[in-house]
Amino acid sequence: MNYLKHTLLIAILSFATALCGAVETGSPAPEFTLSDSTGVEHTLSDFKGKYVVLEWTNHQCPFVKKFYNNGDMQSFQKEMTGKGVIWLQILSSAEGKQGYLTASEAEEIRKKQAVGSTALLLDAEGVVGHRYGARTTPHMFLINPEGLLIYQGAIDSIKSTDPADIADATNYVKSAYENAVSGNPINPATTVPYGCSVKY
Amino acid sequence: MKTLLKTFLFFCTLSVSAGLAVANPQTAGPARVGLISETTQIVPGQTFYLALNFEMEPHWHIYWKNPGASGLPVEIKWELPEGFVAGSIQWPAPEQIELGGLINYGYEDAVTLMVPIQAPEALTPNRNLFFKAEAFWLICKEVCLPGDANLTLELTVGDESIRSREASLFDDARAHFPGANPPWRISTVVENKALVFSIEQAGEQSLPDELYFYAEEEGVVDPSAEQVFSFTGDKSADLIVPLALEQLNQSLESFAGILQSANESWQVEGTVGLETGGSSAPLIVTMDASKGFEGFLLRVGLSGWLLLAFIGGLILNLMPCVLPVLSLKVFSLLKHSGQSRSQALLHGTAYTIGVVASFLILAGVLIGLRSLGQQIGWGFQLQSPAFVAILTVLIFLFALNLMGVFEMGMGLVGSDASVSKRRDTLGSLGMGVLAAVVGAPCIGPFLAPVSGIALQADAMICLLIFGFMGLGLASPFLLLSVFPKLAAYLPKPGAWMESLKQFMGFLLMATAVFLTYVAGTLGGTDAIVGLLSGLLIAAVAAWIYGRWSVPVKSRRTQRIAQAISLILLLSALYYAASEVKHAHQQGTTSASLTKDDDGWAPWSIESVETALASGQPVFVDFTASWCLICQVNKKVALRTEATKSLFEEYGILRLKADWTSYDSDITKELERFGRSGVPLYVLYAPEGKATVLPQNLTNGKIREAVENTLN
Repeated sequence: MNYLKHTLLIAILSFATALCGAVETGSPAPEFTLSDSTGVEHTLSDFKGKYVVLEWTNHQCPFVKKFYNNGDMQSFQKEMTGKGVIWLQILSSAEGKQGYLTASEAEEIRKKQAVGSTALLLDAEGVVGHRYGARTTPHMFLINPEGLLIYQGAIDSIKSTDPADIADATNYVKSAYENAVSGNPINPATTVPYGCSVKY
Repeated sequence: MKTLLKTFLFFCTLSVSAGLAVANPQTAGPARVGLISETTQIVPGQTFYLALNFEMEPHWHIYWKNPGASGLPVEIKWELPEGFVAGSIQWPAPEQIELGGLINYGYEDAVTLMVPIQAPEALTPNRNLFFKAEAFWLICKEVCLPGDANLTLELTVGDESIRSREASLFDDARAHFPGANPPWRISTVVENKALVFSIEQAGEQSLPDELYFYAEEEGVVDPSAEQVFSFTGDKSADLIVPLALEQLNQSLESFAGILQSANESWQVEGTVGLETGGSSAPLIVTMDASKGFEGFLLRVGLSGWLLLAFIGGLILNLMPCVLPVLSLKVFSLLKHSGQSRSQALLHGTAYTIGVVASFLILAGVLIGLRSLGQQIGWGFQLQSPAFVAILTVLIFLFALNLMGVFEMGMGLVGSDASVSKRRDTLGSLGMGVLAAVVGAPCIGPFLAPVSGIALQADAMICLLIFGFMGLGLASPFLLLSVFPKLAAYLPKPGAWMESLKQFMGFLLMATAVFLTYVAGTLGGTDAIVGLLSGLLIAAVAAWIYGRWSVPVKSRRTQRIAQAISLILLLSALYYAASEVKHAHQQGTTSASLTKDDDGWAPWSIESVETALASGQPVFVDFTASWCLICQVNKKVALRTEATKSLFEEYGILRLKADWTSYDSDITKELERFGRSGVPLYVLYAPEGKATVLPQNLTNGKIREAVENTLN
């Protein structure tokens, strides 16, 4: 009887966890449609056949600033998109919370920072953020041409807000992409993300 | 531009104030940070505490060592005067801070992060020394701000540690440290992507209504997932902690963190699949060899324990102390194999009743003593000098009987067939009792955990377990008596039986030698001489009985012979028992017999604690001279050159806890590890972790344990 109760509880729990997001690495990336800072709608499955990077962002978070203030993130974005990779920034800050932007404000910041992403998607409801279990800014996801999630977690290996650390850190997104392209196993495929919390 | 200017000014103030400040707090955004000391003076060679004291504006928080769903822990870089060494941050128990459905671990309002600093021995008195800390942190409310500060504290070298004005903050911080160990029995298992803690009340302290597990490291459990705490019984509950995504593809072997109830928290760590905790015990890790088994044991429940008790009892048949008695029984069965089925069944049943009843009585006595609050454990009979002496005499008499010095029964009861039968049944019963009595101390590694459980469980379960142990011990004979046809496969009686019988006598003699050795360790040479004299008198009694109490002699001669041998026997028993006891009380104990102990010191709780406090690891050999496995381990592993040099290499203090004679401290310590008997081998690391080694030691296993625990 106890055993049954116990098993049931665990089952309910796992189900609950599944509801509030967190996709296991290796499983299909959940579908979504969001409009970007210019009002254009993007659907994930439109990019099938290409590698897709998802980057949760919040321009006021010190961890995000670490990568944008000196242009490190921008050049990484340009390097990746130059190879045909789709790079989607996602902003899940709720209205009234830190980092929330209207489409026009978002577009202005994108231009000012010379961001190199394919698009900046607005997710003020937090639906897609919850679906992916995004919890920090930045929180990175890499999806392969088959639509499977092949990496999720931190952007790199040194947890700090100091831009000087970027050069010494291992960029996990970059290494995951390079390994995937050359057919090598991805290791690590899941890491603990670091940063500010997503302001749902 | 404006912010830049502000930041610039901010840093200017910081560096200026840093130069001047002695424990002056600095304001950095929503936090005020101060470097404080618990004492106003530094005493050479002592460890003292410095701390970062954070005071935060409402709703702002900084992070624990595992920040949870987001955030960064506080970091401190020290610049200390020469010779000083800083330890790591002593984190108070954190709280859960929820932000938009994400759970972070940290501190709100105020927190004091203590760091132990070891002062060198050589310091110039009255000199002023500067301690510099560069602190980095992330502070968040809705938004997050990184912060840092350079803080300097000036302290004087003195000869007395005097509490500073800030010392009470250190007291507060200590009050928020997690307790050393939860007061319950805890076992863990990974099931359905969750780490499941099964928690059981072990002593007085009942289970709380709520419990939450903070993993010490990131990426082990999912900080934002709900943890469910639910009762599975009056005194047991499960805590289900969903694992982190990062953990799903790896096997989780061990865990470490904090268990927190509404108003208390405890440090907890252990190996998945194993029991930890219980009373004030340090964290107990059991090594591989027995871990799988003991972990399994805790999960099999009552039916599993009963089965194990049964198998254990069965195996007991092969133990050196039981084997000779067993041989006796085989022999008597052979003798009766010509008899009818019902008679064989009667013997088998009598024997079984004898064994089971003895085990039940033993369990009853144990329960009784336990309820009286006495510390009791397996093999305790062999700690009583009188018991050892009497047992030796009885075994010796059995040996003489087998060798043909005297015959029991036939002369005494004449030709009355019915009485003779009853005698034999009683004999079978007595044999069963004897098998149980001599078998009990031999309880080997296999039965130790089961009997440990039996002693901790309630009375009914305890009785059941012991009853099944007895059934296991008796089962081979019961089987033979139920299926007498099996006995037909046994060899046919003949002259060889007499030879076999005499040979069995030698086995019993060997048992007597072993018991004499035990008596020697209890009471030295005096005890041995006393016991051997008792045996001599008993032998004379047996000889008189065998020579003159036989049917060919006249009835009067027989009576006189019986009377004389009975008197001699009683005096032999009395003499042996009182001599051994007397010698034991004289305190001329093992010292005169045991050789130099080769670097092993006698055990005491204080010596363990003193060594651990000074950072020295300790290995304890819980042993007794009557424990055969202990002696084997001593020879093949504990006292080898390889192990000796290993212990010396790691600077391990070697202590021997000798349980040959009853010792309440040792019994308590054994119980703390869930054991009711020896051997027990424990390696204590200075940070409080204790590793239990398997009961069958080798040089390799000791090395493995030392390297795993101390590296």
